[in-house]
Amino acid sequence: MATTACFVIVGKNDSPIYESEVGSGPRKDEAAHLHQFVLHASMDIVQDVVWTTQNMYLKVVDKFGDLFVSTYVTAGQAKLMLLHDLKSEDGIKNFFQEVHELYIKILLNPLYVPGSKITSPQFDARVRMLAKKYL
Amino acid sequence: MEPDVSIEGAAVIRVVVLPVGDISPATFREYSSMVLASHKIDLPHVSSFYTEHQKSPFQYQPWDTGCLQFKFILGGASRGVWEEYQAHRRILGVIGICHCAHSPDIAEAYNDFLNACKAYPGAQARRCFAFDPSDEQVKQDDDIREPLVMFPDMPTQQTNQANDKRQHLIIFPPSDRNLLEFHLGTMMQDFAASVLMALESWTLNAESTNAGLTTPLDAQQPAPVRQGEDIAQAKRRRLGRVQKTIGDFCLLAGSPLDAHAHYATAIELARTTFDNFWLAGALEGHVSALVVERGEKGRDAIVDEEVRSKYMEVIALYRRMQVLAFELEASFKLARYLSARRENAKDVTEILTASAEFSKYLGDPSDRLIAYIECSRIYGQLGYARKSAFFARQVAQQYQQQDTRWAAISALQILLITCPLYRVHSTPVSVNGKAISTPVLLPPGTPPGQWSAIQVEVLGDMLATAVRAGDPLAAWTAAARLLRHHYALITPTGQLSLAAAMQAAAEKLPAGTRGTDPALPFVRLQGLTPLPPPMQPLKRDAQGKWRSGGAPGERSGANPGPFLYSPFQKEASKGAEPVVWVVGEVAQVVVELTNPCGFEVHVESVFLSVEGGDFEAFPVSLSLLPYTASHLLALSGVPRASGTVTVRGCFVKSFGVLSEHRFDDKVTVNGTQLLPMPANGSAYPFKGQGARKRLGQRGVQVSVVPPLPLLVASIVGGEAAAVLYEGEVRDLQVCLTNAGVVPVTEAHVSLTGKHRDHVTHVGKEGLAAALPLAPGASVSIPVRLKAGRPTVTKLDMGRTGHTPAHAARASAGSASTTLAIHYAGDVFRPTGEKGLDGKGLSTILEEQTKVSGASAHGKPESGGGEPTAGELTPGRRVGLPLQLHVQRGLVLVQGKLLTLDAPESTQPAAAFPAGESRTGSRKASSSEASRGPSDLSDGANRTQVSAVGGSNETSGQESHTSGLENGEVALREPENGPDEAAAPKRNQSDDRGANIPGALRGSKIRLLELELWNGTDVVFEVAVETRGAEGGEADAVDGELGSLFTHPPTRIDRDSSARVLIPLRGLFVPRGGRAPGAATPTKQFVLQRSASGRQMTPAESAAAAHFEAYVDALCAQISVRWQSGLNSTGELPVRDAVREALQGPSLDALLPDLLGFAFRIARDASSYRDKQSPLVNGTPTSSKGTHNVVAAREMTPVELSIRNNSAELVHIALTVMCKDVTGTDCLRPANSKATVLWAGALGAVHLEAPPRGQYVHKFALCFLVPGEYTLVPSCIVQATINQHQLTNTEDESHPKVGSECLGRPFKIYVR
Repeated sequence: MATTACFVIVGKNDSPIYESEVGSGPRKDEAAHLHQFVLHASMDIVQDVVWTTQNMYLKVVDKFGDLFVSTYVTAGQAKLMLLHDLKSEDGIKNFFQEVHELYIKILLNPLYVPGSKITSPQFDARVRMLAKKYL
Repeated sequence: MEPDVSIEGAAVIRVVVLPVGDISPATFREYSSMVLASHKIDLPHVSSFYTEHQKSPFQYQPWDTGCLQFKFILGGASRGVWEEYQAHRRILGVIGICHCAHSPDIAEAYNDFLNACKAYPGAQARRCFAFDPSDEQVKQDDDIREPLVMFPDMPTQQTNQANDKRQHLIIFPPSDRNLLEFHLGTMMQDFAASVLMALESWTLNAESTNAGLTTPLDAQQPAPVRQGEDIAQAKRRRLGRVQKTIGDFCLLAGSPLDAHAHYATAIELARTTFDNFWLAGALEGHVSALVVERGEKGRDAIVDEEVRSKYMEVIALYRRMQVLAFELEASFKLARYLSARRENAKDVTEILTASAEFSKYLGDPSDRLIAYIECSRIYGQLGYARKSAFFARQVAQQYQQQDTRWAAISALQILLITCPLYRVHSTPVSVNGKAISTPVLLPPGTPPGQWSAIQVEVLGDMLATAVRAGDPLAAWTAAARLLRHHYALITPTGQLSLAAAMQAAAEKLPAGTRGTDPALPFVRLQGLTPLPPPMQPLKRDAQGKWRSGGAPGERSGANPGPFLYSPFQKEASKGAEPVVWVVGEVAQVVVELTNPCGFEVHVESVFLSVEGGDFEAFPVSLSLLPYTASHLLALSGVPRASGTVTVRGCFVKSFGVLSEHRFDDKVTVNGTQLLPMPANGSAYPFKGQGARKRLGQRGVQVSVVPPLPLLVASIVGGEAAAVLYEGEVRDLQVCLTNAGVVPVTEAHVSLTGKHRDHVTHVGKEGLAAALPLAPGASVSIPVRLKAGRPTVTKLDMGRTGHTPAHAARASAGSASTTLAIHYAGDVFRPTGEKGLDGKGLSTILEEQTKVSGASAHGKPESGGGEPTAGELTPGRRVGLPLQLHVQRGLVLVQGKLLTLDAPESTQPAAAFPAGESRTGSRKASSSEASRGPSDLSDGANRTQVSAVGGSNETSGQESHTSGLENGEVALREPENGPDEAAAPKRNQSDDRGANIPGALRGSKIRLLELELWNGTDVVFEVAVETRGAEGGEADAVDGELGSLFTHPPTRIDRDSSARVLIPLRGLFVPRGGRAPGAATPTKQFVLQRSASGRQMTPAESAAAAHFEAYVDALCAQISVRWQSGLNSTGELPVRDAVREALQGPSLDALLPDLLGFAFRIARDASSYRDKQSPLVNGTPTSSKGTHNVVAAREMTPVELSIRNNSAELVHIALTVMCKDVTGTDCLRPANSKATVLWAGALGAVHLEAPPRGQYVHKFALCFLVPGEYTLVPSCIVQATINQHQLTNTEDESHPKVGSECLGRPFKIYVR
């Protein structure tokens, strides 16, 4: 499993609706913020890359230092972004696909307003479980 | 590394601009800005200053289209080690700027300039620009230098005199900036020509000079020197380097074609000599020449591809040479070149990503800084704002690592620049009070992403940096933003430390500092408190009609629809009237404060922020405890000028800094806009929607009207609440005081509410007379109340168990009668004059009409709050609730109509003296004590109350004042019917009544008997007043008494009933009043109407109307007054009782007789009353006086006027009797001689009386014996025209054939 990994789901209005540090490495506050900044900055590239391919999985779109940003864009323009330090494309792809399914289940919840923060603890737990499994 | 590198940068000549002498930085900046404007000088302009001393090496110099580009380095530059490698890194010119006013000694200044130039040995072109010289300085210059070097007399002073020490000095005459710029521009063209000539010189001498053409790399990697072949290679290598340098010069000189050729040679030589570094330089130059030559317009994909391939080679070469700085520079050059086209974004991103990756291997921190800056700029150029901001933040972090204040300031500035992207501020960025431009511009359409974690981090960085940079305001602002927008993400400890940071920053700030961002607490507009109803201004239209004017309670009462609840009406009432403020009167706005943080927020002052008018706000100070969810606060102020103001927000001074909280600000918490509804579940500081939905986004606009008067109304001597008995009349005095500052000039009194008819009179005249009512003045107006129907019933009182007043207050509440006075002050005048200067209202109104006319023609409509033309100034309404509660007093149990058949007496009509009421008050017996009025109404029918005597009546009956002193009368119940009434002999039903001979039935007396029940706790005294018949007709007998009779009062104790008799003499139905053929409203009619709900025929409805009119007429003549206690008087409504009494057969009793008789002594014309009104009931038409006195033994002509009161033609047989005092018939005495002689027909005269007409029968009498005589007419109806019709209809009121009619006796006194 990657020592550093930060997973974020960015909603249609470019605001994060879910954030979690899924890396196995020791958490550092500064690093965590840096991760968020890197993810935030890479959204510019994602916005361009998303028009160049038909795939939802955009692979690694950006890197800063030894941090890579992989992105998966859903049909609803929600961006699943993962910051990681190890390249394992298949695992990341599977991770994204599974999380996408979870996200769709969240969307199916009639009480969930699309674009609002995902606060479901089950979702969080399952995402972490998937991260352990694939990353 | 150098910042802002580009491919075209190889063609830019570097020039240093130095301050010379004593010159302030601001002045230097101002002058240098003029120099900076000449960064590009076209060759055609240069040509006039250019002198070709020898053949130019630039063969392809484009003199028509080319240009020279300059880069001015202000304040000087250090000499770089790579100048030999790339010519554009050299300083090729020096410009000094001298301000003569500050440097009196020009010579010294010039020497300073020359000394400074020594630092730039390569700079052959030198100029010292001296501005703003004084006359002395010019003269001094003239003395020294020959010829005069003074612009514009001698623009080119290339004198080349060896002894001229000031060949580079140029003094500009004082002039305005435009002229100065023009002169300077010309001088810069001259300077450009010098540079060009210097370049030519270098190019020509490049090969011959012994310039090293070495780089630091040569020292690091000394080329292996070998004999023979190596020397030749070294020569070729040097030649290649020379060619490359010449190419550089050509490029600088604006001749890319020449440069191209030289670069081509240099590339070839460098390749062969493996001089990779210079090869890379030559390739760069080659690409630069290509790009410069093509220009922006000639750029295409082929060029792009060549540039990319060449630069990739360059980068590879640099990488091989391990010169990272040059590699990165080349990368940035390529990236910048490619970033101009959006389709190259992927390439640019790759290049920049790699560059950023490599930049961490840079040894020099400043190089790393430059690398990040370049990344940020190029990403910004590409449109990647977030990437740009990210690298800008990296730059800021690099600055933060430097432990100096200046670095911290730079870091703060960079962070502030990134603020817009991270959405962490709401107001324009400013540093130290100056707005700074934001190079990181947001491209249009940038999504409004909010990333709270990032925002918190950026704000935290800003706070730390600002503290280090010593900018307390920025620190305060950052902390305030953190607390306000991200409190939910910050722990209570963190919140406390932020609050402490704010306090610490505030201590360093000067007092009264205003912050751009609001801090805690959150403020939300709750609503504008409308003025209390008596103070609310009301608008009027041009006609002076008040548009609205009800208290809220009254409005709610006016529900037009059939439904109790209508959502539309509710919606409409929600939108309510806009709040209006009045100049000089306190206005209130309710705001809601919230402190969601875990520490106590002390608000030093909070007051309203009102824009657009003069408004004096009153500050309030308070403390908000931790986690205060909602604290309502009323902020007040006084508007000082009329117009329209906008309540924009409020100023809050908390944590030592004053900031404005606008009501239309979007509240963002945790990076998400939480309005109108928090969608992301974040903690929202407020609960509910608040007033935002209603009030919109643009603040609240309130119109302020000029000062208005303020009337205060009160009731003199007690509160307004009054409990009245039914019919009570009470007088009140209402005191009106003007408590405002403007005189009242207009007032309009009206009544609103439910029981308006209870107020019979309001003294409007007194109020009108008191106008204008000056401030402080008072006026009293009388109000008369007359209680109508009860508003409080006994049932209510019994149920609630309260006192009547309480019950009344509970029930009356909203709908009580209100005396509303709409009033206004001075009429609006556009000139703004205030106050009334003693003019009358009419004058002012005239002025107003003139003014409105004028404004309608020419002046534009004034804005919102101002009264528009043609609209009067608003006024106010004072409502005085009268709280009328009417309690049932005397109860009218029933009314009956009684007819009294009196025997003819000598004075039949005088039998009733003035006091006609026959009353009997009876204590309720034990068996009847508990019976209420309804029971009594039954019982009263059975109870026979005789008007005769009184002493022999029921025991315990208290009776007095029997007006019937003349013995027997018969009270007949109306049930007996008209037929029986017409036959008095058969009137046997009343055993107490006396039989009256038909012949003596000279007159009918009608009495209205009212049975009254006193169910109250007080004693009533009842007095009856009657008026005569219409036209003030008095009783014939008692005509002298006038038309009004007041009868002695009757006392009615509590729980007692009494009957009041009202004589109806002279109060009769006019027989001719109904339409021909229309049925008289009789019993049948009433029964029909009540039994069947069928539609009435027109005739019936006309009859009904006639009946009602009659009842009204009758009631108008009867007044039953009562008095209770000292000050409670009233009048009993008798209409219903009369109406009830008149229904049925009893009405007939009131009908006048069929025929009316009137005698007249023709000799005396004045004795005959020829009245327009019909003769009723044979009333004698002459009064007892001297008119009927005739002389004995004279023929006295007498006229008998017979009036037919019916609508049919009647045939009658008339007989006139003349009786003396003994009752003996004098005309036809049975047993004696006739004492009266006559001429004409007196017996069995057959005549016809036309319908509704009269017939005059004339005869003459001669009285032989003096005395008193009585003429009695009588007639028998013989036939009517419509006889069979009448029998069909069985109308009792029509004349019956064979019926006898008697007239009233007529007295004649014979002397």
